Amino acid sequence: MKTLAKYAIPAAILCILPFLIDAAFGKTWVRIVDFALLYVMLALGLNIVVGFAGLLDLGYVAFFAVGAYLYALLASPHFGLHLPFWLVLPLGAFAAGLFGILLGAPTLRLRGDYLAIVTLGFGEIIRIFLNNLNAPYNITGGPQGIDLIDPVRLGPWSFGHSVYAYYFLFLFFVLFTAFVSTRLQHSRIGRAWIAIREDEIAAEAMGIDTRNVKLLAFAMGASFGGLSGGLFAGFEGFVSPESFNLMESVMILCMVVLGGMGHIRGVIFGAILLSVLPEALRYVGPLQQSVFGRIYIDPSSLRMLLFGLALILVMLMRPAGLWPSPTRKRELSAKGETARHENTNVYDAGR
Amino acid sequence: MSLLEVKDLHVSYDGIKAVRGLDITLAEGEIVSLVGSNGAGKSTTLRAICGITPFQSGKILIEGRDIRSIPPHLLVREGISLVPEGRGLFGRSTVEENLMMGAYSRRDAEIGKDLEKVYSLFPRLLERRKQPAGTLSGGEQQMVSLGRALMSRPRLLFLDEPSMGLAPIMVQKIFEIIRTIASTGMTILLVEQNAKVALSLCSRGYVMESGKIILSDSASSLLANPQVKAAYLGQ
Repeated sequence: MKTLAKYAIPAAILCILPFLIDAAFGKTWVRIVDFALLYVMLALGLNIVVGFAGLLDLGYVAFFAVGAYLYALLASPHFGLHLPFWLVLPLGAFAAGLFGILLGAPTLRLRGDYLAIVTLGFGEIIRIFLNNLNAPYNITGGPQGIDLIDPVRLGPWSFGHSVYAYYFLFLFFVLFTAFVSTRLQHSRIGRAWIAIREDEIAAEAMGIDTRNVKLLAFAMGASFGGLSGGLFAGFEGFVSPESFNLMESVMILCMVVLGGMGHIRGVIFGAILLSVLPEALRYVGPLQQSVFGRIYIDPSSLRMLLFGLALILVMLMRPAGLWPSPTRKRELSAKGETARHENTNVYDAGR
Repeated sequence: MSLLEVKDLHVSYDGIKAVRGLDITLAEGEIVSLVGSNGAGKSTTLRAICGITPFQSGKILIEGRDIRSIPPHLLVREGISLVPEGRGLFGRSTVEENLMMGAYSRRDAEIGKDLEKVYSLFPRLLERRKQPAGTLSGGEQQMVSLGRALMSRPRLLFLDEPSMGLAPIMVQKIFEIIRTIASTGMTILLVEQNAKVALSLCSRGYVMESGKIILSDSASSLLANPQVKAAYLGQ
């Protein structure tokens, strides 16, 4: 009975959520929620690399792009290919995973800021490639991107542009990603990732194959990015290099850090918050209009201002993230006690 | 046959020749210290034996078997265990998680039993088992590092500066524990700057300077050696 309540109630809420949102705020908001779900997948994928393995990746959006473009190339009139989504989607995840290894292999010895610079460069390289691969052969459509991508189709039934259908599809993949993440975290591999994050030399001395385990983190993280990229392409029906710029990578990283690095529930929370909140701020313009009769501050500039302010505040007040993992929280709260232990121990040692 | 034999080891990294022709042997059950001043190449020697730093030439044999071709992560299965310099704990993981990482390469059923053994050796760690290792005091952290190294059931234990950064009284405590571990028949190579404490614990010692062994003798003779006295014991 208890387990039923534990799973059935959230499941029921998640099932009726899009209809409630539609009734309350309109269809635009269901679309925003769909995007939030995509971001949750991206954030969970990046969390494997940054949160678990501690490898700072500033070019994560590249894997999203790989998944999206692969879907676009294989299921659109661009090449006249119309492969089914259940084939293209895993292919996209696989291709992104390969790109993950491609990025991981030469950067194995790098850490921290050096790794961040290389990954940043990698993200830009992918975007610039997509932007310029339209001559002499038009592969990616260049800056115009690829249009008229096939919507997701299950048998005879096409998802078309139904925000509801995509909601449930994305929800399924979010649950899948969260499930895999959770299982990974508590697995042998997950423990090895954490060990590498904390001390790489010690990890190696424990008998962890640091090279393979790191590559695996890049590949796993990237394939989740590729998966959500494919879903994005099918949902939007259009991809262009613009969607995969540096700001996107930074945004996804913010979701991970703000939510609580390494904590799956925290990361999900961060992703939802940061994808929904900027949309909500759009209403600040009309609000000013109705209250003051004119718009004093342009909502678009206010968005970034408030966003920056929120980030600074969170990092000051809750350095471990809004919803940190229990271990992390314990560690930060125990800091003050350490000194006291230190002193008592010196005396205890003499006993 | 000696358990560990290092022959004419040369290690350089970043263009520095840290170890230049080093020879060391360790018999089963022996506890030997490698002393020397800062920058003599002691830690580099340990890291090379453990496969963490690649070496240019020479031979490292375990029971007569060359381990050069064995990748570092598989050396643990050969019975090598390292307590790294600065302890190398997984700071955000709990004490118990740290200890369990020591058994990462093992798949047998006796891991739980060994965990209890470690706790009986370090009762303090049992009290703190659910606490993140990074929040422990220096001495407790060193205990975690030692316990973790024991969790892999090593035949050969390498200790890199276990006294570093500890209060003198804690140093005594840690060395008592090392003595206890040694009494179980463990083969130990102890690298220390604190030559006096290290040599008083060991049967034999090597003195290292500028990447070479300059003296090799029984611990008591080394402690009495005027050269050692002057350079390392401050007498």
